[in-house]
Amino acid sequence: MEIRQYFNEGLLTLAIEGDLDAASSIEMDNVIKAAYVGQKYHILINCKLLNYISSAGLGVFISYLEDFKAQRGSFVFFEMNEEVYGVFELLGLHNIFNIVKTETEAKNLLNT
Amino acid sequence: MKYSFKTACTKQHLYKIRKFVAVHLEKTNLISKEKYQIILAIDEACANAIIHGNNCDQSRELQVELILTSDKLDIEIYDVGNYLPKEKDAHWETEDIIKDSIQNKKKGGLGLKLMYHIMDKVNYYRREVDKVNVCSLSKNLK
Repeated sequence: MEIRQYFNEGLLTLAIEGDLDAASSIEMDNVIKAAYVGQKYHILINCKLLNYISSAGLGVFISYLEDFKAQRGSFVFFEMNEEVYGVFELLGLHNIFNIVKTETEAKNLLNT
Repeated sequence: MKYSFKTACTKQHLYKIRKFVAVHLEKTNLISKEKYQIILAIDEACANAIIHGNNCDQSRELQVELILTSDKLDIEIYDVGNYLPKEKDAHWETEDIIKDSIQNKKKGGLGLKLMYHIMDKVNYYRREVDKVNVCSLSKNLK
């Protein structure tokens, strides 16, 4: 898995490529933790190249949800493929996280 | 047909297990999303065995066996660890697990739930004769 980071206009974009599983979730955790410590509370997650997510990957986002919410921040996922979206759906997480189709929609959501 | 794959108990080899399962699921008529979810259920079972049962001890082995027929997929995962989920974990409502994870900032706990959501049968037992832990999963394909 690779995570590319872009910071622009107060929004941090994390573009995830590959598989977010029990092995790679530690790296994801470190990136989210660093964003929090660096007070980057508005995070866009580009899922275009995210092939796979397991519960360990989901667990990273779940575990930081309250911390970011307390800072009036949030995660917004966009360009998620049907299979990955299906995992969020299985657990009802699509009702908890913001998941939109495009980057523009994601930015609009964070700017409102 | 029966297929078998052995690997070391390390999280870094989970992708190899997923690849092994994916290759054999190509022989079915399942749609992409269904194949993906079966791979996920097996990945979760193996991750639990590696992390909780064997403390990621690479000197230990994990074996995944698939029995594939036209209407059913049976999977057995063998290891020498000691992970058997608690009865309450299997029957805890998904919504309650998520609420608890959010409130207590927990990262784990959803893998077992995914296995139950995806597969038709999930069963854990310890084979006393050779001290092998077995996770047995099955899915009707029709």
